[in-house]
Order: sequence, then structure tokens, then C-alpha cells
Amino acid sequence: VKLTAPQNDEFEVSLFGHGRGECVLVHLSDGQWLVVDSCKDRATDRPVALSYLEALGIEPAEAIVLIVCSHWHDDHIGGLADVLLGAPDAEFACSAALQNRQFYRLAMGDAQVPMAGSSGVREFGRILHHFRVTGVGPLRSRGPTYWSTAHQKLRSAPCDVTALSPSGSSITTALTGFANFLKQGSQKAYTPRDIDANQTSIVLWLELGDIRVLLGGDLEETSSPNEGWKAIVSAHQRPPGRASVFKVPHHGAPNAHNTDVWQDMLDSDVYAILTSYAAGRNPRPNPQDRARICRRAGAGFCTSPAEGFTPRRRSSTTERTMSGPARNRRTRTGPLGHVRLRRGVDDPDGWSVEFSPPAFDICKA
Amino acid sequence: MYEPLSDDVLGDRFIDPSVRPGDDESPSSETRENAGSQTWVKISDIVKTHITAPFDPAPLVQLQSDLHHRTLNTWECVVMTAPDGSGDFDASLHDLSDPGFVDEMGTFNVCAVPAPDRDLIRVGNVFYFFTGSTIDKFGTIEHVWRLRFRRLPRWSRTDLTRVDAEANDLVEMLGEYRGETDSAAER
Repeated sequence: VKLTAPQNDEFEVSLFGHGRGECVLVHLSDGQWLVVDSCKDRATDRPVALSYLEALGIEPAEAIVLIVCSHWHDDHIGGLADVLLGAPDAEFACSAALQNRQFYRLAMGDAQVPMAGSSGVREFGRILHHFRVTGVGPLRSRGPTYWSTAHQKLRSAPCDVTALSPSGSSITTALTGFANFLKQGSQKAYTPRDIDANQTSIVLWLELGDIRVLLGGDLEETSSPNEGWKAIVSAHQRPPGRASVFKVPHHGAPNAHNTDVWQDMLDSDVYAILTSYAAGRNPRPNPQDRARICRRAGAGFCTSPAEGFTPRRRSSTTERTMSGPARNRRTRTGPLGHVRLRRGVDDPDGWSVEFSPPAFDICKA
Repeated sequence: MYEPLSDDVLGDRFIDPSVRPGDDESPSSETRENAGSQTWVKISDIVKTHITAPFDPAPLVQLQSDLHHRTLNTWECVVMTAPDGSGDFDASLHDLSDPGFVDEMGTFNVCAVPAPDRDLIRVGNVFYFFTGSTIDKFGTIEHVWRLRFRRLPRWSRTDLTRVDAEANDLVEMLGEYRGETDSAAER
């Protein structure tokens, strides 16, 4: 991937990931950038969004106009507070499910007595702290610009940016989850993994002329017609047209797959892009996930291998002793992969795709 | 091959890095920072793995039983998946001894967890994974490991009161979602 800034009339979608983190940057044209989620580059310990723009010779504080936090899971929010501080004039949107007393208690409680494995809550706690104590910019002196819900337009120029989720029903479910967790949390604090943040993830629809992009966040499918992808596909307020780029939700996991999305909302030769998740027992996307995506997409690219990377070796004694209880060891994060699609706003030739290792073409692998 | 060592062999002359001063169950950052260097651990439930040739290690403390134990590495681990049918569960490993190593994932089995801790094997819970060595008076070295679960501190009444006050501030400042007809409106 050549580190050259896009032209003013050039649309860009850049996806970054390293196995346990995701960040999307979109050049909306006219030098205006959208940042969706955040992860840190392990090499620099800085948010990828800031590093990439600076590498292109672009000043983040001037270029970033909108920051969206799709949800608060730790693989989507690493370094987001720093992005907010680095772009103090940008608007900020997060899920309306977080605009509630129970989540505030959770975040503030974590600051008092840290919960295990709660880095996502902790990062959002940092953001709330900035709002509450220090302020982060004139536009956000009173908090997020948008507590986003389905069908809310977040930006209209130079490019339409519309949230397609979370639905009201999903938010209600999340609020119940927070309240129930805190009943347990008052007894013993532990990580709130049983609150399904993915259901409140923000999905974005971007539209500029003929260019349409669907960014799927981590939204999953549920049995309820009022939640998840079913609610989006069936909504009459959904913008018309089909997207030519799709950020596949939830790292290609089958629980985020909805056939109607592929049939009704995407071009038949859509570019499917996704990040991997190497931190779970079932790393995603696995070969079945990749095959399912490639059957429906014109091309598919993933930022890094799902299987993770072999850890750096320690001394032979340590390695031998570790292997007693710990099997199947692999690193949770690897080098940062980058997939970039660019297209002139009026360019009939369509998208040009570049990717840098460990990103790879999932349909050829 | 695996033989647990008992506490009474070694007496009480150990510092357990997973126990914070004044709290016999939870670790403190202070003790954890020291975990990688010359930290001595209580070795109940330690499991012997194998025996290697004698060596001349870093300074050892003479214990009553003529057994010496040295912790070489400590990882803070978070349970990522619940145990499956075979008792395997996945956990992330964060190296407290050498931050230069990136976090890893590994698969453990409930059999490796001391029986009193097994009810703590739940997603999100934290345990510590120690590796080290023991040497007896004959110079025989055994490389050993041990898993110990952290019992999380409870939120105190004071904590909760403070949290409620801060949450009230945020509600006043940021508002609350009141349903589809009310909220989420553009600020």
C-alpha cells in the first residue's frame, strides 16, 4: 500500500486489523475523513487512525470530521479516547444503548475497582471521564454529538452517513443486560461479557453518488425480527440501492450472516472486507466462513490470518515448563494488516484494491 | 510424573504475588510488579513437571525443608471460553515478567487448576500462571508450574456510593436514553 493521500475527489475505504482489533478509515472526499472504531498499532502503541493519516501527510485534527464507536468491545475501542483527543473538533457518535445510568455506573465502577478483562469498558470510561472532567473539544463539551439509533443521519455532506442500527428493541435488551449485570456486580465485579454489546453495534450506510458502502460493525443475527440484521433488512426507512463494498460483520462469523443482506443490500460482485479475530477458541474467519463469503462476493480480503501467529520463543526451559498446562499457544495480535479500496467519485472503472501483508485475499487463499 | 508439593514441606516463609498486603485473596499492582524478578511463592498445588541437571541459579533462600523455590515467570491470564466437554478452556496470557512479549492465547484443562479454584473457571475471571524451579539439598532441580485464581475484590458500599454520585453527574450532563420516541436525538 503506497502511502499517498487520496485526491479530493477520490473515495477511500481503509480497513486495519491485527487479529484483535479493528479500525476503518473512510475518505468521504474533499479531505474529510470518517473514523469507525479504533485499534492500536503494536509497533507504535498509537491509534492506527492517527498514525495512518500522519503517514499520508494529513493532519488528523483538521481532517477527521466524524468518529463513530460502533460498540464497546475491546477489539473495537483500543485507543479511541486518544483519537477523540487528537481530533477535538470532530463529531462523535456512539450507540444509544450506552446512554444510560447503568452503563455510567459500570464504567465509573470499573475505574474504582477494576473488573477483570474489561478493557473496553475501561476505554469508554476514559472517554466519559474526558466529557465529565476535562472536556475534549467545543463540539463535544456536552458529550457525544450523537447517541445513535437506527436510521439516524450522522452526516450529509460531502457524503451521506446513516446509521442503520441499533434498533430500539436491541437497546432495550442491552439496558436490561446492564441492570442485571450490576445486580451481580454489586456482589462481585467481573467482566460484563454476558451483556451482548454486538447487538447494539452501529451499522453504517455511506452514499456518495454511485458509491455505496455498508460497514457492518459487529452486528449479529438474532431470532427476533426487531433486532440484528433482520431489523435492518426489513426496515422501510432503509436507504435504497446496493453497496459495492461491505465490511463483513463480526469477523465473518456465521452468527452475523444474513442471506437477505447479501441479496437485497449488496452488489453481486461486492468487495467483502473483514478483520480477523484470533483471540477466541474459534478464530474467525475460518475456512468455512471464507468459503461462505466468497460464494457471495466478487472478491474478499482479510487484514490478517485468523489463526494468529506463533509466539516468540522463550528459553527452552520456560517453553518446556509452560507446555505442561498451556497448550495450543498463539499470539492474540500480530502485525497490522491493511486493506485499502479507492475509487474516483465519478470513476466508472470502479474500485482499485491494495493490501499489505499480513492482509490476504480470502478467495484465493 | 506429576506430584503436588504440600505447604507443610515448606512452612510459611513465602510471599505469594497474587496476594495483596492485607488481603489474602487479591493481588496488588505492587506485588505484581515484582512478580517476575526474585519473588518467592507459596507452592501448594505446584505440580512437578520434570527434572533436569543441577544448576547454579540466582540467589536462593534457604528454607526449612532444604527445598528452594524460585519463580521465573508469571502470567496474568483471563478465561476467554468456558470449559468444554473435555475440560479444556482458553485463556489469554499477559506476561508480567517480561512486557516485551505480546499477549498470547493458550488452552488449559480444568485438571491443571487446584480443586478449590475450579468453581472460578468462568469467562472473564483472572488467574495467575507461575513457572519456576525448586532445588533440593542434593542439587536436584525440578521445573514446576502452578495456576492460582484471583478472587476479585467486591465493590464496597463506599465504592458504590461514589459510583452512584458520578453516574448521577453523567446522567445530568449526558442524559439518558428514554426510548425510541425520546432520545438519541441530535444534540
